[in-house]
Amino acid sequence: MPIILYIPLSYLFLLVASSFWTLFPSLLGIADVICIVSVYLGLTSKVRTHYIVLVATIIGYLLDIFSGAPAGFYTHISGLLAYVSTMFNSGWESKSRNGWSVFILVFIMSIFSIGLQNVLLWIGNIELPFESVTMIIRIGISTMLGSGLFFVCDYLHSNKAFGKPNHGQL
Amino acid sequence: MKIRHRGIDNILSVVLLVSTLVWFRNSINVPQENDHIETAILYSSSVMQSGVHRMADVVTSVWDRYFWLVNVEQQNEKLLQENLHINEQILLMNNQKNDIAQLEKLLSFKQSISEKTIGARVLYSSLNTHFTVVQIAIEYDAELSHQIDVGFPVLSSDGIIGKIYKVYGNYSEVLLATDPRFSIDVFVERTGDRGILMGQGKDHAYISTMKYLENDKDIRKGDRLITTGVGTLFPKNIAVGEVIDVRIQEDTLFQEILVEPFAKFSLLDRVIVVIP
Repeated sequence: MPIILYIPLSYLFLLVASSFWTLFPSLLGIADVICIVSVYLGLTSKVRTHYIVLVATIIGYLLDIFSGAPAGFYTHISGLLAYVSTMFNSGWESKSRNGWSVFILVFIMSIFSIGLQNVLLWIGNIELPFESVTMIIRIGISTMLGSGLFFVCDYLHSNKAFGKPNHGQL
Repeated sequence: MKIRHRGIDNILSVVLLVSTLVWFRNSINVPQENDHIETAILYSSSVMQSGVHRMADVVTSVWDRYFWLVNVEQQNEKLLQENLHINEQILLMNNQKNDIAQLEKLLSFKQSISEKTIGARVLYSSLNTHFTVVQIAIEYDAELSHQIDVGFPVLSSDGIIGKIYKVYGNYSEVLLATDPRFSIDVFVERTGDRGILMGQGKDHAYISTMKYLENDKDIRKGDRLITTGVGTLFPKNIAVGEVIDVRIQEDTLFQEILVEPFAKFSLLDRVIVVIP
């Protein structure tokens, strides 16, 4: 699947998730999960780095709009996550991938993403209380749902969903 | 050639990332204004969201009414049919009763405010737990909806909800009173002491903090906080919340006061916007 299609897919996901908010006990971690999409794009896409970062920043921009965050907050986080992930792109081959490696990777990236959010909040002088329990829950939700999302994205990328593999397309 | 491509890629990516960081810093320092792309996205999403919201209502209703009754149907189908019919009627009546009670409460509250007000329905809540924003739609009074502007107070019958953050057509985003970017001048009903109420942006609870109340001032758990009407568009004497914890720190001049807003943010459905 061309990576640009992740933009409308993320938009649809955000639209539906934000509309069905009354059904969920909590929306904790949903924004973190969307950030994991940027990690996936950075790790797996075979297009040029700046295309990946651009797509990730657009996804982050949509997340900014839907999350009520200050403009540029998730735009920057999403882009940076994608950029960092591209550095490990060549070492991340689907053949060597299994459930545990995905789980551990998403776990590390979730910590990185949430840590990055706190750094940006600090840069923006936005005072927020540090709550370790909530932080752990967010990392947990992001790791669980993010790992699942990796396999969904793998399916979308595979020939099962779109007839032929499209890793190399924008 | 490949190395040159990689260099260009890295430069472009870093430029993009630095610009987003600068954009973020500016958006914090300068008051928020919608750009055209954002307005277009929010407006088109709002139209779709109205539809999805109605669908969500139907799904919620179907889930609540039927899901747990499937097992009962297997046990006694005939009894289930009768029960379903009765339950539907009761649920419908209860929903209508709750709606009427809520609307009556909101109407009487609306009448108690001297300023012009306009009713709105909550469409969605933000997906981020720190930045608490909800989207509202003005379903009636289309003429008045054009007068809505950034900073206008949003209230419910329980107390203050927040203030208008962005406006696009008949839709607006509301910055909740628990958001760290929200602040309002309040006084303690019992003593008249004044302070500033600020959102905390807590992940798991809708809590605010009252700041700048000196250590020697008398404030207790259970004290009610009321708006002063100073410095904002909020009317005077609107209930804000209740003090749930007071901590005096020896090394600072001010007390640390935790406040639980009266408004039930997790159950928001209908609100009113005050047009000053």
